[in-house]
Amino acid sequence: MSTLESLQKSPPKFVEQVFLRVYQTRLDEPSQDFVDMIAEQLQEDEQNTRSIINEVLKLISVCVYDDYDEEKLQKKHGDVIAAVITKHINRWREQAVDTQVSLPQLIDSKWRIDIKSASHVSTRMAAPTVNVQLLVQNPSLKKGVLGSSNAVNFELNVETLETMLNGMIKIKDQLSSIK
Amino acid sequence: MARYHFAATDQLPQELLDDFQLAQSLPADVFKKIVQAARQIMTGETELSTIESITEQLSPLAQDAGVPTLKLMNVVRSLIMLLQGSIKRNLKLETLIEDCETLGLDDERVKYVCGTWKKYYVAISKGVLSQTLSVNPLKDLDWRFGVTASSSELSSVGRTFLQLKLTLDQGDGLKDVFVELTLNQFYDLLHQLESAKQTLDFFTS
Repeated sequence: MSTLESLQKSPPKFVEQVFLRVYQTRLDEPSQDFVDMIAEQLQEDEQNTRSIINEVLKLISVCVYDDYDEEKLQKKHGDVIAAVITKHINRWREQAVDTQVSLPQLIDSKWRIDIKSASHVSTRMAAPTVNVQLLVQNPSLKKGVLGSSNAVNFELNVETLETMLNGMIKIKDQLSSIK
Repeated sequence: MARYHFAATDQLPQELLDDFQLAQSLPADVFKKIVQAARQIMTGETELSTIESITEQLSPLAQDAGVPTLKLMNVVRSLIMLLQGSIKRNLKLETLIEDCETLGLDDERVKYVCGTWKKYYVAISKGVLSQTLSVNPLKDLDWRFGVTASSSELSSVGRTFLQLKLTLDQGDGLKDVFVELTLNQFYDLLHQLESAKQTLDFFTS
């Protein structure tokens, strides 16, 4: 007998709620409130409920990882579960890509243009420079805790900005040639 | 009104005055080479950090003139002070000529110094301005991009990523910063920098 059987008989709205919550918190342990809530609705004991949650997560992970067959899913787990998975699979896939392992990720960039009007080498000058700040999100180091973000500040003068832009335009050309 | 415009003072250190007296007494061709050496240091053609290379350049000249190399180096330093002060105070050519004459250089030498000044004015001021304070200047940018083919959560992904390595000079050495961008972020950043460039161009042109 499938562990998911008791879910199959539940109202679709509840099933959808369970599936969404399980995938959202896939990287952490399910919270006690959540387990209690499901246990009450399904009238199962806590241990069974936890194994149902695990089963749901496994099912979603398999469907997200590989291409899935809706008909097979319907036969095996019933219409309600198949419908929920079909409805949300694309969003889950997008989420999986967004949260995949990576180097520190760029979140935001800001810039400002200053004109230096005097300095220790010249009492009157007008040298424009641009200050760039990149906000960078570090990967999470602790389970369930979002990684810290830090700001990278640097200054460019006309020449370095030009060099940097040329480099980036080169990247852009390369990118458009492989698309 | 100050006697020396490049330093805005009446009284210069005795060493500086001695240096210019020595410069006046040097053979003309040695003097010209010394002026050129000072100019090269100011425009950044010669690295200031390598004192040995400067000594190397100057020692044959010192032999020609029969003057110790160290003294010649002091003359170079004084010439740099003169030119730097003139840049700092945005002196006009006539004022520089006046200063040179007050320092005791003859017409031919004044003409040569001012000629060099006029010819390399842009390069010299650029070299001087590059010494202005800047905060974490960007030294280098390395990049690579690729396509994620698969991950632990998805068997096939196919998303383009771009990784940047920024090398910044933070004052206590160079620091590498790594950033990963998605395609959209990359285009956004490019757009941002392009608009910054347009504004910069507006101020420089």
